Amino acid sequence: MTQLRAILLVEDSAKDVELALAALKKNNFANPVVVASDGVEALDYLYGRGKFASPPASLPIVILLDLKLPKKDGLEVLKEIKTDARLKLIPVVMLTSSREEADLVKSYSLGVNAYVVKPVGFQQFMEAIRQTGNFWAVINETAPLAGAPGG
Amino acid sequence: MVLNTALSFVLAAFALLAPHRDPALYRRATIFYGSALGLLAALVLAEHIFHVDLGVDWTRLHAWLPDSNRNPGRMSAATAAAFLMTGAALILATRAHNRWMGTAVRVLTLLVGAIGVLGLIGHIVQAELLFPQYWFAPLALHTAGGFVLLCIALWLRWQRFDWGRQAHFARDDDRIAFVGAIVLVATALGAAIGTFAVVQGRVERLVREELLNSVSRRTALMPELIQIGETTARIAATRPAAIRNVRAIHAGRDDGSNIANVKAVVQSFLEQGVRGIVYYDVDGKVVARGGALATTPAITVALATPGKAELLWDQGFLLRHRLPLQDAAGRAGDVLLEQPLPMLAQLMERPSGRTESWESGLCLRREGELVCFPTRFTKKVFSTPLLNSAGERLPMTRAVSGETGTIITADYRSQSVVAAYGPVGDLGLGMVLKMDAAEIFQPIREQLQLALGVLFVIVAGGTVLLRSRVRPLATKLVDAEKRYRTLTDAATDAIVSADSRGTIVYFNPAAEQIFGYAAKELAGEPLTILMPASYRSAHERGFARFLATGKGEALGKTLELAARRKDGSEFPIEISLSAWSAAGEQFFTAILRDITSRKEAAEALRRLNEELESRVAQRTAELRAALEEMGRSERHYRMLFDANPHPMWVYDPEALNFLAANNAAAQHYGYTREEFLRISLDDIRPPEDRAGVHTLVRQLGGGASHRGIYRHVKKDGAVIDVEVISDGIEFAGRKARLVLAHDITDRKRAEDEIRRLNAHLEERVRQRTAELEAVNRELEAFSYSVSHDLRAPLRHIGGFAQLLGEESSSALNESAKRYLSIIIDSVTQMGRLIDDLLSFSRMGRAEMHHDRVSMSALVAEVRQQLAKETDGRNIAWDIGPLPEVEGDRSMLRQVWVNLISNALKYSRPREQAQIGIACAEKNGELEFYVRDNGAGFDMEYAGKLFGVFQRLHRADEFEGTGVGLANVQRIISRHGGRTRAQGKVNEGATFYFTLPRPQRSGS
Repeated sequence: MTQLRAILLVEDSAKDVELALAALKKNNFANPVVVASDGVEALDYLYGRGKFASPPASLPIVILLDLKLPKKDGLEVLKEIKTDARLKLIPVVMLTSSREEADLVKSYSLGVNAYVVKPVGFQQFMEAIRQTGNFWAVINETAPLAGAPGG
Repeated sequence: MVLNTALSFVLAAFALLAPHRDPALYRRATIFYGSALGLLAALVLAEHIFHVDLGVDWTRLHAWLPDSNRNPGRMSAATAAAFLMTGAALILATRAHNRWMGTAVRVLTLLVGAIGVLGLIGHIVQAELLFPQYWFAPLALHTAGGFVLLCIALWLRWQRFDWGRQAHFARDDDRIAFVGAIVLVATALGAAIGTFAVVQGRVERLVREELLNSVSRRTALMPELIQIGETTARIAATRPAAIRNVRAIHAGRDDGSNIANVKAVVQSFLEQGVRGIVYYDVDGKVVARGGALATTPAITVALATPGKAELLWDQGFLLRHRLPLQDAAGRAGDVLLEQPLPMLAQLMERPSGRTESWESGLCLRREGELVCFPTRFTKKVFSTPLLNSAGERLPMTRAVSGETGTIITADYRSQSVVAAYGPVGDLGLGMVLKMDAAEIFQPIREQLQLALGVLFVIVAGGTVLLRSRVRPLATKLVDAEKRYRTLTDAATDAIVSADSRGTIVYFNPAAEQIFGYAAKELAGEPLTILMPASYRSAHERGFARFLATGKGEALGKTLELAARRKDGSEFPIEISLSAWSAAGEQFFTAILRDITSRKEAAEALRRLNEELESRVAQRTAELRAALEEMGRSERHYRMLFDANPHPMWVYDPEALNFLAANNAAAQHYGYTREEFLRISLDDIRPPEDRAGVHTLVRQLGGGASHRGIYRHVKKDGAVIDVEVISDGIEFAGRKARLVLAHDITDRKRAEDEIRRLNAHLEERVRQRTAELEAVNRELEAFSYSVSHDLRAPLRHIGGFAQLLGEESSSALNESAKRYLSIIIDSVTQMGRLIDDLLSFSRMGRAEMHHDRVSMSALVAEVRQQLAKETDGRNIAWDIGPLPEVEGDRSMLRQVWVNLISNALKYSRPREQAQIGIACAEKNGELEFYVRDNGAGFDMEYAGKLFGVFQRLHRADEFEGTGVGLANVQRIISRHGGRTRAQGKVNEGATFYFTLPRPQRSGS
């Protein structure tokens, strides 16, 4: 499978999205980035419903998930993903500004694969994105995903 | 004695002379001589047994000795055997180490002596005559004697050894019986031997005489017989008729009557007994013959008779004469006559009544040997050497030499014979009459055997008798001795006996133990060896006095003296002495015991008694004081009881009535004292409680202490709550219970009130806590959203500013770029501020955990955490040992983070940052500090240090939000500690915080 799988970025703040995309670009990640602006949209994308006609040809290689989302918040989305037989194989990285212990505990207990706190400084943000992307999109071996045609 | 015998005796002598002082040398010498002896003897014995000549006999040397030994130079078998046994005994003796071997040696020695004795006996009784097979006969007298001496010498030699000295007989009676038997045997044997020797001598003499007489008679008679025969021959030779006729015949003038006449003459002689007769004429022609002439006589002996008789043997004695026929006219011829000599045969015959071995012999010497006529035993003529096997002259030899006599010797048959011999006239013949000695002494032998048998019976009977008589006696003696021995040996007191010379003769085992000597060591030692030097002269004087006067002051009394042990130590003894005599000798016995322990015990007892006395005196004084004291305390007690503000009483647990009560009791319950003593427990309890009272009192059993709260009733019926403390006591000789009562009515009321209030309070607390928790939750939510929501715009500002800078870097000038970086820095600053504020507020709200925290581990972790800030810097850490504290781990960690990062921050300008961390105990608290050599601060403004957002440096000097130290103070004060700081501008600062010492020890 030579085609690069997408990175799903779930973030409601457009500015944050822009920063993230800039950071990914600057780090020369070739993966296509799919952006969902809230939890519902993210799930619709994954399941191929709502405004998405069908599930993606191949599931994302990693999901970068923010905690604070309108409608369904990050933890709910995480829960849904991690309980779905097909989707739970996708690594989920919490990318959020909260370092609250409660959030950490809840995320990990729901089965999040990583938890990265968005640093305030952009330089650090870049570094965080680079390392996170590098690891999860490049180095990490993902589980073979069944169910998606051509996957 | 043969050379070998002499040699062997010499060897034995050397063996006996072997020096016994040096055991090794002695052993070697003895073995050497013993072996030589044994070897020689064995060889000779072998020669005897196997009849071979091994060449040890020195035959040549003995050739010139006239020895009756069949094998010259050879020791007799008995001698050889005796020497063999001697050699064996000698060798065994060197190896003997137990009784068995010792016995073997002594048996051998005795055998040697026995051989000697038997040899001697043999000589005395000429036993070889009695017993032809007497084995010990060839023992020379001196050899036999030598063996007896050898036996004695060896026996004495063995006395030197232990095994030689061992008593054969454990019992005296056995010894007595044995000695008795020996004595009997010796006596009887001696007597018998003596008698027999005498008798034998007499018999021998008689026999000799008789034989000699016989011989003499016969030797006298024989010539006569010859003479008679010769006469007959002469008659035959001178018969005129015969002569005439012979002459006539010879002349040829025989007409037949001559021959008839001659024949008649012949016939007449034949009728006379002549065996054969022949008349010859003068030419030697046979005229007439008659009878039979011996054709081949076995022997012909010319007798020196006038008639030149010849004695012939041809199946009997024949006397032959050849005489000339002679008358006045001259010789007419010869006549040959052979006439038997029946008388001679008769003479030579065994007389009747004689015994079997009687033999007569008639011989002559011819050509260096004896030629003999047939005898009883030898039926034909024989010859025999002149000397017998021992080299001695045969009796016959002596006889033909003209000697007459008797002799006991070995005859030509090599048998011991008693022989009488004598020449037969002048005929050149000798006659011997002999009898075997064995036969002669047969009766004696038989008698001897009989006597020996009787002897044996006597000895056996005598021994048995002796034993049966002696044994009971001996048994009694032995038992008595044993008992005595046991007594003395087993006695725990020492028993020492000495003889009249003062030498120790008996030393019992107890004495051995007390004195430390072994009995053997003291044999022969003087008594004084057991006494201390100071006593010796007194003892000697007393001893001498007793021996002289027979009076001893020390005897028969028990004295206390001192004695001396082997190691020289002296000790006290109790001793009693006695004197007694036995077998004419004076003995002394002392019985003593070591009274050291007794004396010591007596001394100890005395001391104990003294001590006891003083203690008794002391105790009596104490007792008196105590009694006084008791009297006083009794009064005190009474006071305590009566004056006690609390009601106290004593009641009987059976009847429950009051036995005693104090004023307080009476007062409190509203009775008078007298009234109170008349009532019982029931009366002061509410009726419904009374059953419970009985049960309880029964349960307590009278002795147990008890505490409880009950309701009591006063006289006026008021019910009060009383706390009762009771215990079992003995009162006036009986079991009772003492009770102290506390009226706790008021207390109870107060307690109830408090409980009520408490419950109320708890309710209020619950309410308050709920309110606080609600407030906390609100704050939590607030800070959560603050942190989250405030950060987002910051991120955006910073991020896009950065991007802007990167996008338009070409388009921006320096100041623009500078402005941009300021913007970015400010963003970062704000972010930090928010974080700090957030953590500060969280610190205030957070629940404190109480853990045991290792400060040193925490510091190490924090240093690790701050590694980014220490990388590449020259920092000298001086961290002392830090104890454990109790507190919230994460909060304390924050304290260290803040303090250490401050230290790091403010010491950055220094070439080498020196940071010290330590802890000291002060006033029961633990005071930690972090010291740096950084920028320091002005002490004037120290008060502001710990305020929130308070900084004493400008932001461009040192970054920071000013929250850190406020945080530290907050955390420390929550832990119950205090913070303070000390510093000097440009010389560094030290920040202190205290924490209480951990309460619990261990985890």
